[in-house]
Amino acid sequence: MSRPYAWRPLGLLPILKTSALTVDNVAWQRHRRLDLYHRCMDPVIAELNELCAEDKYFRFADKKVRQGRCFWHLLSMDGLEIAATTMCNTDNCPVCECPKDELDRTDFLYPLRDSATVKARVEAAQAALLEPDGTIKRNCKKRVWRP
Amino acid sequence: MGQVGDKERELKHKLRPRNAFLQAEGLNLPAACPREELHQFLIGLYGEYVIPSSMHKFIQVLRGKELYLGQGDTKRPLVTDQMLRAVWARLRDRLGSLDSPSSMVEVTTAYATHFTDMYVDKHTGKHMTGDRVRILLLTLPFLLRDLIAPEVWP
Repeated sequence: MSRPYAWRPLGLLPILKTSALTVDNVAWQRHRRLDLYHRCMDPVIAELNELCAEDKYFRFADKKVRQGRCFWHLLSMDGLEIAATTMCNTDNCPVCECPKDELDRTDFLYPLRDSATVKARVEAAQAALLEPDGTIKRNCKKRVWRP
Repeated sequence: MGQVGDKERELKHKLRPRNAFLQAEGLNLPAACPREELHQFLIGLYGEYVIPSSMHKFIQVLRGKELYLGQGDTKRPLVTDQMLRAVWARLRDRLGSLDSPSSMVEVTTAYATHFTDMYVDKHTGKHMTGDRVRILLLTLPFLLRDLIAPEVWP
């Protein structure tokens, strides 16, 4: 693509500044920001899903029109953005199953995570532990005893 | 930590709020988000480990046991603090003199001073972005040489 068309903004995400918040609980603010980010991405992802669903005709840089299929397979982001997107903490590997305390092991390859499995497991856990409105179920609030 | 926290830790995924990206068709989210080179390699490995250890090596050599004058209480380093400071000032000036026609990267005086503040004066409040560290990665191997000998201009 020629340069002016190399980038196509799909959405501008709002930043929830601390000064704009009336609740000063840091955990609440973190959750609110994360929620805002994901809810803003909902319509963008819906449109991308629609775009990627069928073949379309594209004019390429060599002026030829070809039939093609859009797909996306890489998200270019920094560490904090990756953490917000994958909802995996920055001190964990979002790509493979390597546990946090074995991140220094280079002699072993851990199985890669995939979207379908993560989604299924997350949805199962959400169904078990959360109410439909996203609040924690009453009987799931108790602390877990650890030896 | 409650059951939700435990489950989140086990899944390496927060349960709240709902992750919009898991609704993306055809996108393998974990594979699409590798921990990029920016923080782990550029800032983490090179910026926080390689550069300080390179500078430490320079100091180790310049303050080697054989480079001390006098004995006992009168023992003093041959390379004084002032001379050592001049070494880093020279590095700063070399860095600041880089321009795109000759080096393909342009480095401002402010950036060079920022580098000195961070790595020589150990200013804890100063940081560098990945792209700025990348400039150091490209240029420092050529700048960190002959810092003691008089500068030779062609």
